[in-house]
Amino acid sequence: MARILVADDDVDVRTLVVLKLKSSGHEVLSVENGAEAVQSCLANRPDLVVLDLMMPGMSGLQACEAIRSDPTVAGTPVILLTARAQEADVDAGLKSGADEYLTKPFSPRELATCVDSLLAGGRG
Amino acid sequence: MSGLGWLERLERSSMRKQYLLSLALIGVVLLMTTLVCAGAVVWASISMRNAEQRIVALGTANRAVLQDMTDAQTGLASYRVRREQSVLQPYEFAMNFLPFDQRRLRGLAASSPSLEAAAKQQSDAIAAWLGRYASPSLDGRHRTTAEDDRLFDRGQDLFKTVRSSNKAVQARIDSEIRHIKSKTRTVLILAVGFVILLPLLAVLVVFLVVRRMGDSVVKPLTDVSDVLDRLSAGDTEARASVTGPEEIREIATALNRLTDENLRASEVEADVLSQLETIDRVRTDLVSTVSHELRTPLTSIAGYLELLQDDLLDKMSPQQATMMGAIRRNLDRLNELITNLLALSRAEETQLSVEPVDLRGIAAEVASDIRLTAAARDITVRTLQSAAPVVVLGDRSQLIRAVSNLVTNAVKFSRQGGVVELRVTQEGGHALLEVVDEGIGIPSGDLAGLGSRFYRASNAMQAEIAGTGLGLRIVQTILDRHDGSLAVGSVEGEGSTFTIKLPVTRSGYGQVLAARTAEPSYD
Repeated sequence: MARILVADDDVDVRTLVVLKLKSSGHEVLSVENGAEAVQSCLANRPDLVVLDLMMPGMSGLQACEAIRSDPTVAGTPVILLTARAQEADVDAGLKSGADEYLTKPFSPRELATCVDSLLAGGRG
Repeated sequence: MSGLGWLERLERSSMRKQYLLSLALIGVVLLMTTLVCAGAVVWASISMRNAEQRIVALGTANRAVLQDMTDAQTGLASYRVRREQSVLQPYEFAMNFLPFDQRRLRGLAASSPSLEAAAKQQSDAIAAWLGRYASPSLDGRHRTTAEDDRLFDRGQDLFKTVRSSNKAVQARIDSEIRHIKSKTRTVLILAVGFVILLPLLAVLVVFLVVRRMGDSVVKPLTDVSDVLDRLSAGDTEARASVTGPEEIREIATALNRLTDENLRASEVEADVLSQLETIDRVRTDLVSTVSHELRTPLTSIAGYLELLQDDLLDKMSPQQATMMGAIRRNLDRLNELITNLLALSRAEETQLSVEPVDLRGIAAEVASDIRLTAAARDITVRTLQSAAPVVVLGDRSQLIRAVSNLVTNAVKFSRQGGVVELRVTQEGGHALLEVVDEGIGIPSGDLAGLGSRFYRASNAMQAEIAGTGLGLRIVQTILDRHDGSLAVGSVEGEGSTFTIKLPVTRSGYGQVLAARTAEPSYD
C-alpha cells in the first residue's frame, strides 16, 4: 500500500485513475492542476505522482520540474499522462525528470502495472 | 556666376566631358608655351640684328665725320703754305660731305639721349672750328705773320676739340654696343627661361586640374564603395551621397534606390515570415489541442469500459458481452482514426528534420516493435538485410511511421501463422525497402485506389478487418516529401509486396555518416 498523488484537470479521467489505483489497494490523493500538485506533493510526501501533461496554469511538465527541483521530494517517481505521442514530447517529458510516460488513451490496467513497477523500484 | 560655381559645375558634369576638357587644356597650354618661346627667340634675334646694324652705321657715320674734318683741316693747312686755290680741293670736298655725314650721325644718334648729346657737342665743336678758324682763314683778309700764326694755332686747338668730341661720340657708341649686347643676352636668357619655365608651369597647371578632377571622381567612387561595404556588413541605414560626375551620381542614385527596395523587400519578407511562424504555431497548437481534446474523453470512455468489464466479468450475458466487444472495437477504431489523422496532418505539414538514415536500422526497429502484436496471432516478422549500410537522407521519425504503417498492414492482413518479411537492399542510386506478406492480398481492381484517403480494399471490408483507410495515404505523403515512391504488387489470396523506393545519398559522405548513425541509436 502506497500513497499516490494524482493531478488531472479532467474530472472523469481523474476519477478513473483514482478508482483504479484505490482498487489496487493504494491510498490516493487527487488535485485539479499543476500548482496544487506541487503544493500537495510537498505537504503529503506521496510515494508516487501521476501528472496530466496538459493542465491549465501550471502544466504537468512544469509541475514535474518543480518537484524534481525540491530536494525533499525530488526522488518521488513521476508518471506523465499525455495525449501527444510525438518523440519531441516524450523527450521533453523525460528531460523534465518524469520516470514514465503514458499516452492517452491508456488502459487502467496499463497504468496500474506501471505504478506497481515504479513502486517496486524498476522502470517500465 | 562665380569662379567656384563654374568649377563645381564642371566637377558635376560627365567624366567624358571632364577628360575631354582636360585634354583640350593640356593642348592649349602646350601650344601657348611653344608660341611664346618661338616668339621670344625670333624677337631676340631680330632686335639684335637691328641693333648691330645701327651700331655699325653709327660707327661708319662718326668715322666719316672725322674723315671730313681731317680732310678739311689738312686742306686748310696746305692752303696756308701755298696759297693756291687748287690745294683747297680736299677742303671743299670735305665741306660738301660734312653736312650729309653729320645729319646721318645725328639721325642715327637720335634714339639715345646720351649719344645725341655727344653728337651735339661734336657738332658744336665743328661749328666752332668752321666759324672761328675755317671761315677767317678763307676770308682773304691780309694778316700779319703773327696774326696768321695765332689764327692757325687757334685752328689747331679747335680741331683738337673736334677730335676729342669725336672720340667721345665713339666712346658713347662703344658703350651703346656693350649695352645692346647685355640687353640681347638678357632677352635670350629670358627666352631660355621661358622655354624651361612655361612647360613646367603647363605641367603644374595640368597636374592640378587633373588631380582636382581625379578627386572629384575618386572621392564619390570611394564613398559608393564604402557604402557597399557598410551595406554588406548589415548597416541598412547606409546610403551613398549623390555627388561628383554625372556617371557616378547615377551609380549612387541607383545604389540608393536598390538598397531602399531591398530594405522594403526584406521588411515584407520578415513580416511574411513572422506571419507564417504565427500560422505554424497556431496550427501546431491546434493539432495538440485537438489531439488532447479528443483523446481525453476517449481515455475516460475506454478506461471506465475496462473497469466495467472487470466488475461485470462473470455477470454478463453473451449478448451483453458482444455489445461490450462492439464498444471496445469501435473505441479502438476511433483511436486509430485520430492517430492516423494527426499523423497525416503531421506528414503533410511538419518541417522535415533531414539527416542521413540507415534503412536497415529502421527496418530492425519497426520489426522489433511489432513482433509482440504479431506473435499474438502466431505471425513471424523477420528482416533480410544487406551487409552494407543503405543510407538515405530523410526524417527519421517520419520514415519509421511510413515503414511501420506498411508492416502493421502486412501483419493485419496476414493469416494466422503467416510470415512478414522486411527486405532492405540497394539497387543503383536507389534504396529499396520491401514489406512482403503471405496474407489475403488485394484484388487487382482495387490496386489503383490504394493511397486515396479513406480508401479500403473490398476484401478487407468483407473480412471485417478494422482500418481507417489512411495508413497508405500517410505512407504516400511521407515518401512524396522524400522524393521517393511506393510500388504495390499483389495477388489476391496469396499476398502483397509493398516496395519503398528512396534515392540514396551520394558517395562516401553518406557511408561515413551511416556508420555513425547505424551505431546503437536504437535498441
